[in-house]
Amino acid sequence: MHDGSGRIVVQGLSKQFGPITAVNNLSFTVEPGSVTGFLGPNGAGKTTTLRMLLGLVRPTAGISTINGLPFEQLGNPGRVVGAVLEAQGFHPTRSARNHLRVYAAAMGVPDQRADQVLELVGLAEAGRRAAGGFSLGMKQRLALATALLGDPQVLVLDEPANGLDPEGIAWLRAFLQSFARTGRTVLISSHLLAEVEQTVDQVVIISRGQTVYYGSLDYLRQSQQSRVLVQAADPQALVAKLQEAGVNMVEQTPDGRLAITGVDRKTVADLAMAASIALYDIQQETVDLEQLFFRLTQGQYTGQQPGYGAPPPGYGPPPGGYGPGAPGYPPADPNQLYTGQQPSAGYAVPQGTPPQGYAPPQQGTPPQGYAPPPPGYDPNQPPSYAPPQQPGTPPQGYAPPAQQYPGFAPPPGTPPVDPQQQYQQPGQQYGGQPYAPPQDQQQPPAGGWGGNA
Amino acid sequence: MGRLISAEFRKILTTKMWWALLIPTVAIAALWSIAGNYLIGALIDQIDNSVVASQLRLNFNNLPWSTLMFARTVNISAIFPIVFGALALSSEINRRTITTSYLTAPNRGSLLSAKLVTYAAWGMLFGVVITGVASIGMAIASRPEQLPDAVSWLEIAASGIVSCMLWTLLGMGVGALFGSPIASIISLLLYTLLVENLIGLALPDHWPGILINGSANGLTGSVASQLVVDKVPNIGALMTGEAQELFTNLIRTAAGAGGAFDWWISGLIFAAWTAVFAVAGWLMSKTRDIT
Repeated sequence: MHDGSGRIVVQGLSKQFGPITAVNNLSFTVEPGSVTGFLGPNGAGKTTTLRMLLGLVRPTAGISTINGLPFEQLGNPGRVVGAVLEAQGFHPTRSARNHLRVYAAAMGVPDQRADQVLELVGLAEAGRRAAGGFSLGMKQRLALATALLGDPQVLVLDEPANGLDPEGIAWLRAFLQSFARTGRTVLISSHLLAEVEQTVDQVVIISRGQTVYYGSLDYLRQSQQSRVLVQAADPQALVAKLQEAGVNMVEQTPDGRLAITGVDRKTVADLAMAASIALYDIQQETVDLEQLFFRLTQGQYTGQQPGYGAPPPGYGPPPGGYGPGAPGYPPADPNQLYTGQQPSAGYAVPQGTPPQGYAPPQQGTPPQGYAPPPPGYDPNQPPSYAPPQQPGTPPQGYAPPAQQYPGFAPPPGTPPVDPQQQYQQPGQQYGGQPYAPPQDQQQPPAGGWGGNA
Repeated sequence: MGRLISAEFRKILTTKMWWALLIPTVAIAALWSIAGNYLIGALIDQIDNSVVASQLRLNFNNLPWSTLMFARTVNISAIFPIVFGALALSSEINRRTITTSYLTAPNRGSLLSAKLVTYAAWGMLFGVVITGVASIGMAIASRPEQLPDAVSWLEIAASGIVSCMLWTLLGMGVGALFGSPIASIISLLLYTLLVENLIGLALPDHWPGILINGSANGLTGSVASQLVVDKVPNIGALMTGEAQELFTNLIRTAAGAGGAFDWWISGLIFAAWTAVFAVAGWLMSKTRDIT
């Protein structure tokens, strides 16, 4: 029998389709009680990985388990894991209700369960209509209803937001979070980070069939530094003042401004004021998570050298598995962003850029059970997902390193002031984290991990 | 297993395919048995009334000719259970419902076993319908003296039902092997209706009897022709020796079992063919990636 843990383990999974390597030595663990995002661009191998996990595709190498067992040994798998893999798996003339009753019979749940899940996903009215006449969004709901039929402990969803209207997406978010909150497991794939950003606690990011990041979303978020751009009357004096205050991440931009990383606008302004340096312009610049995601997965289509996609040690999974309880692991608490928890090493907290698009996660009012869309949600609010940038275009604000300010080289031991590197090695900026890369990794891997060089 | 079989029955009963295929099955079986038996009746009248037959004192009238038509009817109507079986797994692959079917079954083997059991039952149901319609048509259109007796009727009906069941499973095996409804149906119909007849022409003696269609026809045809052949000495005193052998072969060919072995050997050969395709489809399904 399976161990009932709700844990998904993927170990060294590879799949070769003829000459194409769809998935290459992929490993990660999904823990119960959290929503884990499985992210990567189209063609990165997400669907293949999920299908291998569910026994639909035979891996070329490696194993995957749910509750400690391979899928085909789960006994009655429909009662353990529910999956939404595509919104197409319906006979066009079979009614939604009959579709569910077929699989209710297969997994041995009472027929009334079919009506319950129809109600749950909001298809009660359409239950007697043929699934072939459904819209894509309705088909997605029916696929979710099918997945929930056996009241599973683990839910696996492949791009479930496709075809859902904003209301449906918000509903799905609330649903998945409440599902995970009951101690169950949710693994959800997407090619858009922003799409699942509000939903997930953990992320596994893959590119070209390999893991490039896996860990908490908060940790990834913290690595997204904001920087302050100032135009000062006396830049040298300002830099001296900043260094005095322990701010060493200063560089000069091509247009003569100073780019200061690791502090907020207010600190810079206060310091300038104290030193009586006039500031003509000051602005804060943030990189959103989507840009970071894009940066991580960018190698896919740009024909980079092998090794480009390999995660730097700072991002790699720690030995011995990756659990939320691991020492030094940032707590999976979205509020952390807004409460200004001070990381070590004297750097300011990364600015809590409110997540784009939808309202912040509703920590205070967890949706009750299978709740309808949260009331605060505004379906008219357009999703403001940042469009992925064209490969080759440096993301805004991360142009190739600006010239170092003369005479203000950082003290020994400080990482080189190279914005790219800062983003690659977040562990270094937050001393004490278990992700600090070894010293010989000070230089970016060959090929430029940031990808724009 | 019981859960999966009940799910398979629901899959079949919640779509229209089963009765959409039963309607033409009934129509074809009725047409063949009624028209065929009228035709045979008229033909036998012609022969009996001919000068040669009356001079030789031969009486062809009292043989159970209707059984030959019965075998023919079963063999031609079997194309519908073949199609039904061919769609069993291939349409699930085509409609992509196979994903959920595999996800809700303990493993692929148990789903395929459930399908085999379910489609064997449905093949028998098709067989019952076909033999039933053929029997009714026979009763309507045949001369009473040309009908088989009760035991003989049970024999040919049973062989017809077994034949339809095996055809359904063979179709399912081919569908599972090819994974495409169109490819499996076209190749099955093309082979049984055309290709094998051409091959059979080129083969000597008993060889057609070991082919797929030949053995299937042999299963029903041999039972039917044997019933007629047994009565051949009743035709007249002259029906002996070479004349009897020649006439026997003629009857076998008329039953669609020319060159076939005895019914039980034919049945075993056909069952072996069914097993070959079922196992091949099984192995293919076990390894096929559902992407």
